[in-house]
Amino acid sequence: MLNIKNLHASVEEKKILKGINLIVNPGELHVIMGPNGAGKSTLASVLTGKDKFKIDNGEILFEGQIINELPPEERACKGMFMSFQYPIAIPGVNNMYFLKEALNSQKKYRGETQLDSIDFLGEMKTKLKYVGLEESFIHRPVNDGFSGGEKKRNEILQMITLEPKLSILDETDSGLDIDALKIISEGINNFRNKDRSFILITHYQRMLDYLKPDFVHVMIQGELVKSGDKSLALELENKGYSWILNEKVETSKS
Amino acid sequence: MENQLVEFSSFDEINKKANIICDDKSILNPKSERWRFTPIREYNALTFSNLQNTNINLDSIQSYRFKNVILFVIINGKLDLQLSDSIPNGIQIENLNKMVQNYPGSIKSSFSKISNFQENYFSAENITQFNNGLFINVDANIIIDKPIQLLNIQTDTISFPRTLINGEENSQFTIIEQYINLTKSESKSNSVVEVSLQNGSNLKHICLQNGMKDHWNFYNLAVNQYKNSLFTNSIISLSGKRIVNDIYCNLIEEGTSADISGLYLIDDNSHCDNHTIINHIAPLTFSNENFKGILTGKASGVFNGLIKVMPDAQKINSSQTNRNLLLSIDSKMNSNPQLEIYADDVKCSHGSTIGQIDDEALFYMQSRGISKSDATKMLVKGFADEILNKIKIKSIIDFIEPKIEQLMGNS
Repeated sequence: MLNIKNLHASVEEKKILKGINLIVNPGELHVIMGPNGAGKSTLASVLTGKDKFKIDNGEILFEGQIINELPPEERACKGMFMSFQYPIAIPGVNNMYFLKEALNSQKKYRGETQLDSIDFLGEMKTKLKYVGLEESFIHRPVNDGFSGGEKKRNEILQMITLEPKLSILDETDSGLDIDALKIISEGINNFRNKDRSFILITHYQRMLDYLKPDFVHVMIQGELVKSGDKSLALELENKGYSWILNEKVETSKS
Repeated sequence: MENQLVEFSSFDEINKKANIICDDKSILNPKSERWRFTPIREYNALTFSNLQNTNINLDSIQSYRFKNVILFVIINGKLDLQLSDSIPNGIQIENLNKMVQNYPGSIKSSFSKISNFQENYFSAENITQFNNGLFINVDANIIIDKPIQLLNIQTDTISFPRTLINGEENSQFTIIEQYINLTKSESKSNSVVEVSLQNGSNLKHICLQNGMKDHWNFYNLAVNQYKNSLFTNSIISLSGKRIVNDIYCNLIEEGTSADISGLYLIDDNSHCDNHTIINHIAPLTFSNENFKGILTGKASGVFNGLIKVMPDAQKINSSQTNRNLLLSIDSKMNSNPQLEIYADDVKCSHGSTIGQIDDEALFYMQSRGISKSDATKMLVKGFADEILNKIKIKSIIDFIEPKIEQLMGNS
């Protein structure tokens, strides 16, 4: 599904990603953890095509095609999605209109039949239940005046509506109370299947109690320095990141 | 009512006073605060030829008719009853000039007294130049369901439309003013609209300005509001070379409420200027003002909004915002919200922004699969929607929306 080869990226001449290698196969859920400033969110933005970031070296392959130069909308149409750490408020643009335009733009790109307003609303009613939101929610302007929890639920609502092949969830769990975390995790779990892949960026292992990850990676200073299974997340929760840094220093010495 | 104006005994005297103002060109001093950012120097250097064009295509007039309205056609400032719908019960529509000459009581207390011509050159000029004008009176306790569309067609190169509107006690009505000019060379219109809203009356007013590429539009709107009256207004400036709007709302008695909004779309080398003064004279008066502008090309604009709270006007509530979206590097906007408060128990807020399309919002929308150009359209439309939604009349919104798309096409 996704193959990241030796990816280097910078913002305003500052090197942030320093050689990322990662393969995500269909159906897999990868977790990326790491201290603040490690480059986790940058990786998410680079994958989705934010032009503020410059790729200096390396390749991003999505379903075998190099997407380094593709604009964000085309990546989305091919099946990539990012749940934003800080979803953007768009006053004046109605949530339902926005989501319908997004879905239909993608359908148009893929040569599929577009949905009319009535069919779309019908579909939304079911999807809203998955994330525990009232119908009135989709008639409000996008993320405008939403609480932190509502914004994150809205991201997941967009994900399950757009049905991407690869979802990159950037700190979807931060700022959520326990109930919301559970609802959102269930929303993601219901959406999981053997074809859909996920990259979850997080600081905490608590969401991993609900979502069973296949791999856990640790990112430090722009590199993925260690990979393991769910137990690695637990270890990080107990011991922090410094031991990995030490381990890294040891390895480079020997 | 606080009225700083001297009571004039006759129209001749008003005219004389107005002529003095017009002769004193210092009132149009380009260096004065009023005209600092407006190309008035350019205006001062202009002479408009006085060309008349009587060749009017009747079919084209009907194409401007909005759905389900009572249409009155005003050509070069003169009501044309032949082209207009019949006048419904409860409304009186007269030639203003004739009314002024006869000078009945209701005219005496309002004509030239609402728009302060002693401080406004164009208001004074209109007094000295207007020929016919329109007087509209809506009887007490009458509710007119259908909007009254005042279609102002200008074919002469210079035109001085003047309208005096009086809403009697508890009347309720909607007026859509539309200014169209079918002139071929550089043209000018100087319109004055005076509105008097008696106790409990309710006027919804929409003004659509749709001038030619070489049209100078000076528009003066002045409103006097009496006890518990409600004035809702939207000024939509769609095209023209130079648009200069002066809006005055006088909240004279308790319980009055004014909701003023505006949307200006400016492109090329055009300029749009909105000067507003909301005058809270009485206690317990309320005002809400929201002007939004979208500028592109080498367009420029001015927003100058003053909220004035007089010493007796306690417990008033007032808010004012001006937001501007610049779609091009060369467009520019001067926004100057002002408060002048002489009372101590008031609630006033104001704010203004001048910005570009939000890159973060654009990326967010693109990341969902929406193309950059579609996302831009959605953002610009979303920006304008706040003003359009207030209009609530679908055929008018449908008229404005394509102009927004057109503007983006030009950027």
